[in-house]
Amino acid sequence: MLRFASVTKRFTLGDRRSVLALDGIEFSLRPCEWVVMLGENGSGKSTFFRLVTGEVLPDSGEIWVNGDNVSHVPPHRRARFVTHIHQSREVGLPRALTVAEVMRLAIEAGRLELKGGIRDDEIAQRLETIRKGLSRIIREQVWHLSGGEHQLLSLAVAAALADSQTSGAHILLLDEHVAHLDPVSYDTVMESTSTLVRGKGMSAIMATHSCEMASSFGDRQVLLSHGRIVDSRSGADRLSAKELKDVLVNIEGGRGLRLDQL
Amino acid sequence: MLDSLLNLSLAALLVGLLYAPITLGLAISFRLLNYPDLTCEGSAIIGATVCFMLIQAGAPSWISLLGAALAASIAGAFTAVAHSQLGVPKVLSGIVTTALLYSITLRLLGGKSNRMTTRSTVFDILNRGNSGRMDLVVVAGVVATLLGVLFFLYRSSLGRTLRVLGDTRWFCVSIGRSPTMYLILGLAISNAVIGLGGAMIVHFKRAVDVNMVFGLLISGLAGLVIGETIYSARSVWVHSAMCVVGSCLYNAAVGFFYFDWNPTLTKLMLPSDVRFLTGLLLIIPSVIILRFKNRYRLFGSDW
Repeated sequence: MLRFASVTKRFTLGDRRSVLALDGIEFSLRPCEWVVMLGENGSGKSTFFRLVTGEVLPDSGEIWVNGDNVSHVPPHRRARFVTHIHQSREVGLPRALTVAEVMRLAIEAGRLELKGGIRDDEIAQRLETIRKGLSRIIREQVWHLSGGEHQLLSLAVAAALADSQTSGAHILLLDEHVAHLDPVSYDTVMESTSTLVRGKGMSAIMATHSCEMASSFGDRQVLLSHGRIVDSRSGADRLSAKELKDVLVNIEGGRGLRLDQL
Repeated sequence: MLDSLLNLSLAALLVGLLYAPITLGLAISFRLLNYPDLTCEGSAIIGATVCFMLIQAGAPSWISLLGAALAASIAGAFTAVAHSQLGVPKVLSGIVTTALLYSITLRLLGGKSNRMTTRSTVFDILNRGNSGRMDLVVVAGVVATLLGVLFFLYRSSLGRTLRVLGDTRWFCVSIGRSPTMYLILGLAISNAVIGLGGAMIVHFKRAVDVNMVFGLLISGLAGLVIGETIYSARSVWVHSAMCVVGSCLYNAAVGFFYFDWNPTLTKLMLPSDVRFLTGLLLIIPSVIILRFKNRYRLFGSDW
């Protein structure tokens, strides 16, 4: 599905310093697999995601998706196999559009010609699939949505984008998408996330700082530190929240931020 | 008095409609695309000049209008390329294009800053009696056609994508559309509309003058802001209609400002005072919008 072959990315910080964000990453994601990615701030999770979406390009190494080398494919052409859900609303959904307008754009994304347009009840039904009762927000503008509603809509958009592709194979990137939510919204959004990923058989990578989340969701735990994958556990080997926390504390205590002098 | 006021209102309506394309074009760049495109004056003059050259060459009116739109759309596309490919900052990109166009325009006009045409324009052809009322019908017809075209644009997937691009650039990428491509398209469209406005002015005045575009940007923006203030539209289509209304109201305000209310008052006023008035007409609606924050905001625009 998705494969990183010794991918390296270094950022120049100016002042002739640079930081090695990802250091020869080898990673592969199987179809329908849900990976949870943990790691301290600056460990390379965001860079990893941005390499998948094409926002940044690798210095060396290759990124493969569904058997194609996509290392240098521009971001908008990666939309057919990847959808990124952010924590921040600033880079998420268009703010001034209504929910119906956003959904319409997502549904028609992959198609060139539309037969008869998209009716409101189809949109309402798609929203209901994500969460019962969600169709009540259909007339709202995006910036009037609550944090939880916004993320539920993001999931509905991701589902619509995945559906609009004929190939069906779709990668969902969840970048701390529940980190800012209150406990009730957190439960709601995670429940819907679970239903969506499992129900549609999507492949997902979820970045998080929460050890509880990492132990209760997903098939595989991947630990990232200083641009390297330091641990990967699936099935019965997966760590509990407490064990994960101990591992993270050990990693962080062991090394400081590495700024290589060029 | 009443009669001359009525005539003034009709004249203001005519001028307002004549300048409406400028406001409509600015609405696309400043609102839909959320791009502070300062190409406006440049694309208006290049549109006007190309239109003038085509009229002089004996081309039919509709070709002269289309040619003007095409030339101005190239100017808009250039602004977009200057920003996205050549790294010129947004605000500077339009200024740069305008500077380049100024020299090109003067070359096209043979070094003269203004020229008259001896050939007949769209107003001579459609309005043989040369009546003021008929002029109004011709301009209204052109603006109505333009609004119709924009209506179909906004309903299309292209129009919706332009609005998304101006709102949240990253979502444009998420739905598989190239932001660069759509920025070029969007600025080409907005400047084509402005260029058409410039061409209409040439047809109306039967002359082209490099100085006619100075102040066009601020008066166009005043029309945009006035239109938005008197009614906050809930669809892009209604917003466009309000731009036309705003342009008419702005020109009506200018007309009433210069109306001969009182001979001593008239003596005190200079033609150059119009810029001061325009400034006020931009500030007052802005203050009103600032005070009433719970208005419907149709665009995620910062400008």
